[in-house]
Amino acid sequence: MKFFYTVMLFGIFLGMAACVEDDDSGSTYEVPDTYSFSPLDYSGQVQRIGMLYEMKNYMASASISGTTLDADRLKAMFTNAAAADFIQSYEPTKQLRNKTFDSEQTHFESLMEAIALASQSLETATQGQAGRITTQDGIKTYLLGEGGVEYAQVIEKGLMGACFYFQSTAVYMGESKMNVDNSESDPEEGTAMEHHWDEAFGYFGVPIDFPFNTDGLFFWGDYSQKRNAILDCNRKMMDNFIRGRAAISNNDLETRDLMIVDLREEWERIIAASALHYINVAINNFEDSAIRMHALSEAVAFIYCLKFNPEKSLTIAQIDAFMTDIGGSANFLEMNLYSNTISNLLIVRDELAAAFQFSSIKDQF
Amino acid sequence: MKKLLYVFIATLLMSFLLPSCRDNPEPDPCENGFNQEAMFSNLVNNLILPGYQELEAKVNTLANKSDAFLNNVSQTELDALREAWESAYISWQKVAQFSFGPAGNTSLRKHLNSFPTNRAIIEVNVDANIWDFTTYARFDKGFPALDYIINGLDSTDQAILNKYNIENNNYKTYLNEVVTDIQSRVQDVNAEWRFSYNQVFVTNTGTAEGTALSQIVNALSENYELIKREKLGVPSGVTNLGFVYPNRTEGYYGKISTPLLKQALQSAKDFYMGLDGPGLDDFLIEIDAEKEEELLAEVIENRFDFAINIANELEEPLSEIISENAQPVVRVYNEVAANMVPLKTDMPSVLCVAITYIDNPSDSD
Repeated sequence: MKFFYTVMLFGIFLGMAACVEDDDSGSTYEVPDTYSFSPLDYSGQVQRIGMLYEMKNYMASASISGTTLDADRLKAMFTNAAAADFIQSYEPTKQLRNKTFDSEQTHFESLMEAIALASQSLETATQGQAGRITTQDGIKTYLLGEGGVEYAQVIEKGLMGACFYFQSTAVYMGESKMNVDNSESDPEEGTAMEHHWDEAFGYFGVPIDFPFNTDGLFFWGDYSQKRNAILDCNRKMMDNFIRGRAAISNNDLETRDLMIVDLREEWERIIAASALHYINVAINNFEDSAIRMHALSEAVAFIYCLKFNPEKSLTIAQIDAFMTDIGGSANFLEMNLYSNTISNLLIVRDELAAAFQFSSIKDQF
Repeated sequence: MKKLLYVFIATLLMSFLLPSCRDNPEPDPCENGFNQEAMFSNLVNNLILPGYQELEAKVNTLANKSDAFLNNVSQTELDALREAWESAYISWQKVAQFSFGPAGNTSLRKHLNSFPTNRAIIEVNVDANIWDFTTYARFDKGFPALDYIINGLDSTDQAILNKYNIENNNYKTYLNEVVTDIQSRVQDVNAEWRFSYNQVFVTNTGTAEGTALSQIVNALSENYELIKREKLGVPSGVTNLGFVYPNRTEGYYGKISTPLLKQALQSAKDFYMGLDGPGLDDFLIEIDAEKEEELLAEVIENRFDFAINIANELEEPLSEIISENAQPVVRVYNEVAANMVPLKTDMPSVLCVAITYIDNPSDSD
């Protein structure tokens, strides 16, 4: 019984720590369990998530042979132009392209042309031949370019990195968006600083009561959920976003900055773990070319995402080297994923795992 | 050192004074006089065993009607088959939530009711006359597959009958084997419950993971969450930024999503209440569990009723409602969602049970 009370007291102490934070003046403030702040507005992020969602679905439609994709429509989806023919309506000022890392914007348009071209093939995909390929169990069919790259994956995941992750960790958590007014509160958006933080949160793609509620996970939220069993990242990401927002509302910028450090680090871990997961899938299904090409496309795309964190653990050169180790090039358009062997994938996997201190659990992803 | 102690005591006191952070501590509910065995016994004898017994009877009828139809492909036999399918599918809603023990070990829910069914794969299966019902990963079996092959093969009944009226018709074999697979899985689970597992379950008291209490609390919450997401959230667009998917409703081709939903909601409440006998509600009353100054037992019961009442206002198939205006379905979703915190957080917490199921909202890779 005594043990129980000790545990209970300790539990109360922990519970309290989670809900009260000291700010500089020594006073305390409350940190809610969920991202239920008011006012709260990240509708621009939701709209961009919607646009990528529609683009992803459109690209996926081409897994059926004979269904061709229109590069101009894809580019219109990128810029939210009329030719996008979106199902939902988005504000004309909102688009994916101008929020994507500058020097990568035209690269994505080249990839859109590449997937449209590949979609015209009526052949089975094989080395040197674009086309469709079905998994041995007959469940999934993928559209691949001549180097085995599944362009739908590198476009979708690539934009998750060069747009969503970049915007959140580099732009909104960066100095120009964080060193802003925090006193004048707009009735819809809160202070400028609060609003920028909310926009950073919006790109994570989760409901405000995540991870309790997992309805409505998009892109990064979905991958956080997938890696959660090993990384316990759902709770960490949410706690950091929530504590950071509460800190801003209480002018506790020291805590805010700590949360920025943690969020950038944890988000990067989700990405690295996802890349490792797909390398493992490729190794474990090496005999099934469809699964192997799909998984390696995912892997190189997630590795590419690592570039867009301002406090990334690897240099651009190191990231390019990892991509080249798998694809023979750091450019998706020039990759050949067919030339991998199990042993070279194991080497890449082990090096990547070591770079993120995942060596002891590298097999589990 | 003394100062530290004061700080500790002061913060400890504050934690009691901050109502939004932590409710007043309850008496230790882990030690109570509630008769767990009586509750388990009630659930087994009045819900679980009769539920599986009924399902087996309905599935046996389904098999008979399927045989009759295959022997005499006619409108009359097709109608009888559809009626038997609907009746068995409704009975399934009553036991779907008992996802522990024999059903858990055999993944009964996934084998019987993975939806939306994958009609493309079914067509490939039928064409090649090859399939593998040891796995549920293809979404090509169970009640949803039956839905497609008896209701959705074509737009008119005559056209559907024509598909079965061809010599050496693989649809016939497919229908027969889907039904047989359902039947044998249900028989196995029912037999195990009747002849061995019921005693194991009733005497498995305590609160640790794997105990009967832990299993029912987890199963009730998980199933309610599946109702929320699969039956309501996905088709109505709540989980998809408002993109609606009428064809992802349960029993889509046979247009029986609404009765299936109503039965599932009522059965969830019955499970919680233990019908008129001892159930989780009585357990919560016994330990005086409260939520926001109301009895937790009543909060949960009332929220079940709200959801049931709102759902009972629906008459058309969910797919048709959603196609026109998803709002009535979203309202049911919201009522179901409103019971998730009480079921998934409050109740497990006061019953000293951990939520251990892993929420897996996405089947994509």
